[in-house]
Amino acid sequence: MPEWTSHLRPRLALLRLRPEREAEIIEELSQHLDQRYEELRDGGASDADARRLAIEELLDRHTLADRMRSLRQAHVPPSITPGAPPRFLVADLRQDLRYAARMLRRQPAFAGAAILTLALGIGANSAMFALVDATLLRPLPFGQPERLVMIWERNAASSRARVAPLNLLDWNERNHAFDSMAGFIPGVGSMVMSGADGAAETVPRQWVTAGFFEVLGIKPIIGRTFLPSDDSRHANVVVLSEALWRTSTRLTSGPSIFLSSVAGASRIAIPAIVFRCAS
Amino acid sequence: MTAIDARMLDRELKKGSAELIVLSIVEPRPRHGYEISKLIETRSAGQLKFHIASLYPLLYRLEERGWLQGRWVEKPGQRRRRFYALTREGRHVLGRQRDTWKIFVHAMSLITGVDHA
Repeated sequence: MPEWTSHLRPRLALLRLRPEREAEIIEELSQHLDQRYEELRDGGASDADARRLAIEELLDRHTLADRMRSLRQAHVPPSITPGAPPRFLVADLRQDLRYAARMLRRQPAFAGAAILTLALGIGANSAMFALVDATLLRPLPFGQPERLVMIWERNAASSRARVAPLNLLDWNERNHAFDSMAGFIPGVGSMVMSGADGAAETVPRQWVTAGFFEVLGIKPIIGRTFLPSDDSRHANVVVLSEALWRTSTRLTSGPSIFLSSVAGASRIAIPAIVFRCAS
Repeated sequence: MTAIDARMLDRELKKGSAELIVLSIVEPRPRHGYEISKLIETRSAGQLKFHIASLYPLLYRLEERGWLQGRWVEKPGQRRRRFYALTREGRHVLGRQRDTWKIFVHAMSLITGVDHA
């Protein structure tokens, strides 16, 4: 009986079959060719003719592979050798992802626990990084931020208590360590402003001492910032941020009208508008 | 009438009639590839002939779809052979394909005026 493997193997080599599957197909097709060969011989064909006619049933060199190319068995990924350098990074990654998806589908409880663990881990790390980024990595949006320090008071109740206003005055008078000092009281609540048209607007605010903007190195766009005299005479003055100035609906009338509108409604002087100093 | 040529057979493969043919052939009992090809040829009076390069990819495709189940069978004194049997799903598909084919043939005869034998 003729040998068919040398005709079949090159035709199957174009496919990515598992070696054992390829051997099975070769065995099966060889049996078919054997029977066809015998049939032709019984019909009176010579050995050579029978062999040639049987091989012709395989058609051209690519037909078999072309018709098998869409089969799943023709796309077996190459086996992974532990420690071997990766050759097909994308294909390997796709294979790993498919394997992971199959495993997760097979064990939904484990998949749920794994996803929850990942979500919590990612969430916690994101929160920590956001904190570190905001407090340590990202520089303060001021000129020479490395020269700015925050001063706290230490007392029996807390190692980081707020500084009493009178203490701040004393420190300022006796200060030799810093170029200048200023204070602020965070979280004093929002302020409701009403314009001439009667529309109310809630604006977040903060109380600060004179010299606050100089300490931060912020220069006003318009007017002046707070003076020591404002502090001493307890003047009702306010400095508007650039963001409020630009986004307020009253701006449609122009900055100067806006200033007089706010000042007139609340009897608060607006000596300055400053650049946005913090994001 | 001459045998249907390979190009036309390709079209038939795509249309699914080849699937119907193979499923019908293995319906009574499991058969191996060569037997299937000979039965197709003899039952069609030589009009249809599946080459190796057409038949086996089709058998493997039907097996992957779960319509056929291939199994190696060894008999004393003979080489082992791979027999293909119709699965339960394959039987359902065969029934559906037969119905579809009947409707198609009937529609064709109505349109063309050609009666099938």
